[in-house]
Amino acid sequence: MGGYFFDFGFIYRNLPIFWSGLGVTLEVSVLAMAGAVVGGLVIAFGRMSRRVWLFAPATAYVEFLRNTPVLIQMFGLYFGLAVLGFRLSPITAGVLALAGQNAAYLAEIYRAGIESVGRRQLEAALALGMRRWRAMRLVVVPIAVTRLVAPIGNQLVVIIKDTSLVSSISVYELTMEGKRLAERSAATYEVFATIAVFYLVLTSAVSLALRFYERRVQLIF
Amino acid sequence: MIRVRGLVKRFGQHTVLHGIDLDVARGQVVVVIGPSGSGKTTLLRCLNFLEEYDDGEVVVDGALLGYRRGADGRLGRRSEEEIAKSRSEIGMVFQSFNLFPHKSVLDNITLAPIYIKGVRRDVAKQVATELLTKVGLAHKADAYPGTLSSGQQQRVAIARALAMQPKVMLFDEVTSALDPELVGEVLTVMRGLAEDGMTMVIVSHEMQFAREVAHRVVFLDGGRILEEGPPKTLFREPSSERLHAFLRRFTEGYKLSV
Ligand SMILES: Nc1ncnc2c1ncn2[C@@H]1O[C@H](COP(=O)(O)OP(=O)(O)OP(=O)(O)O)[C@@H](O)[C@H]1O
Ligand SMILES: [Mg+2]
Repeated sequence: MGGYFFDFGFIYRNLPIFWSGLGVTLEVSVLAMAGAVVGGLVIAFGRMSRRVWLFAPATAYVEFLRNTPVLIQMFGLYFGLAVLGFRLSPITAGVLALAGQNAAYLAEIYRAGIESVGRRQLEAALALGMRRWRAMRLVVVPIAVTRLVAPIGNQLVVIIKDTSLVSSISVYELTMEGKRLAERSAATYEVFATIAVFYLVLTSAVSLALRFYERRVQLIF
Repeated sequence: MIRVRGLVKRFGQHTVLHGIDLDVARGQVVVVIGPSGSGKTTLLRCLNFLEEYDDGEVVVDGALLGYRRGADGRLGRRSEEEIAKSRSEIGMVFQSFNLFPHKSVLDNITLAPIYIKGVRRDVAKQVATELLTKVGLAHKADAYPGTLSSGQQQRVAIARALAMQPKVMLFDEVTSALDPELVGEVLTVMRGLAEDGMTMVIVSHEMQFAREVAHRVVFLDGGRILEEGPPKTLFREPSSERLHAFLRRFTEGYKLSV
C-alpha cells in the first residue's frame, strides 16, 4: 500500500541519476554564487562612485539585468551569442546568466548596506582624521558585511533555486535529469518530490550556515 | 585657537550660513545656541571640514582649514592627507555617538591613535584605559557599544575623541539623544574637560550647563550670529527680540534660574 503512494524502491534504484544531477546543480550553484558575490561588489563600488564613467555603466547594468527575466538573459547568452559565432557551453552560459543577474541584485544590497549603515560611522572615522579608503576598510565595510549577512543569504538561496532554469538550455542538472526520468517512467510524483527535497536540503544548508555565522557576528553587536 | 571670518555655507541654492565671524581663544568654552535649522550643526561641521565651506575662512591654530593659498594667491583645496591631518587635531562628538559597533569600547578608542598616529598598541591601550577611567567607564573596556546605555556610549565617544589629543573639541547636541536621567553624567565629563582647560565649541540646549561652563554664548539664528557674550549678560538681558523669545521658550519649559 505504501509503495503505491510513494515508490521508494524506484527512487532508490535511480539514485545515481539524482546524484549526477545534484553534482551539476552544485557546480552551477557554487560558480554562480561566487561570481555574483564578487561581481556584485565590483558593481556596487561602481554605483557608489562619483566618476560618471564608472557610475553610469554600473547603473545601466543593474537596471537592465534586474528588469529582464534571467531565462531570457540565459537564452541570449546561449542561443544569441551562438548566432554571432560565440559558442558558449550550456553550463558556462547558465552560470554567467545567473551570476550576472544576481550580481546586479547583490550590488544593490551591498550599496544600500554600505550607504545607510556606514554613513555615521564613516563620518566619525573621518572626524578622527582617517583618510577615506582607510575609514572604508577599517570601519564601513566590516560593519556593512556583518549586517548584510541575512539579505545576502536570501539572494544565495534564490541562486540555488534558479539553477533549475539552466535545464532549459539543456544542462543536465537536477531538474533536467528528473524531468527525463519522469518522462520515461510513471513515477512523476516520486521524482519531483525527491527533487524538491534535494533543493530544500541545499537551500537549508546555506541558510543555516549563514544564520550560524550571523548569530556569532551578532554577539558583538 | 579658532578664527572664523565671513564664513558662508550653501547647500545648492540655499544659503545656510551668511558670513559668520567667531573667535575661540585657547582654553575657552563657547556654547552655541539657536533654534532648529539655524545652522548650528553646519557651523560645527565647517570647523572640522566635514562640510566644505563656500566663502570666508576658518583658521585653526594658525592654519587655514581645508584650503591652501597657492603662489598665485588663489585658494585650492588641500590634499586629502592634509585635511585628515587637520581633522585629527580637532575632536568631534556627535549627537548619535557614532561608535564603531564591531569594535569593543577599548578598540573604539585605540583605533585612530594606532592607525593614524602610529601609536604603539600597548601605549594606546594604556592611554585608552586612563581616558575610560576619566569618563568613569574603566570597567566597560571589553564591552561592545551595543550593550551600553546611551549615556555610557556618549562618554565612550568623548574618550575616543580625546584619545587623539585634539587641540579643540566640538560637541553637537551630545545630550539630545540621551534619556533625561543620563544627561548629567555626560555633562559632568564635559564640565571636567572645561576645568582642565580644553578649548571647546559646544552646541547645546542645556541652558543651565551653558550658564555654568561657557565663557561665551553665541546665539545663532537664520545662519547669522545675532548676539554673543558672557552667559550671564546674554541670558539676563538679551538685546534682540529673537533671543528673548528663544530663551522664554526654554525658561517656560525648564524654569531657568539666572
Ligand atoms: N546636507 C544638507 N543638505 C541640504 N541642506 C542641509 C544639509 N544639512 C543641513 N541642511 C539645511 O541647513 C539648515 C541648517 O541645518 P543645521 O542642521 O545646521 O541646523 P541646526 O541649527 O543644527 O538645527 P537642529 O537644532 O535641528 O539640529 C537647515 O535648513 C537644513 O535643512
Ligand atoms: Mg543640529
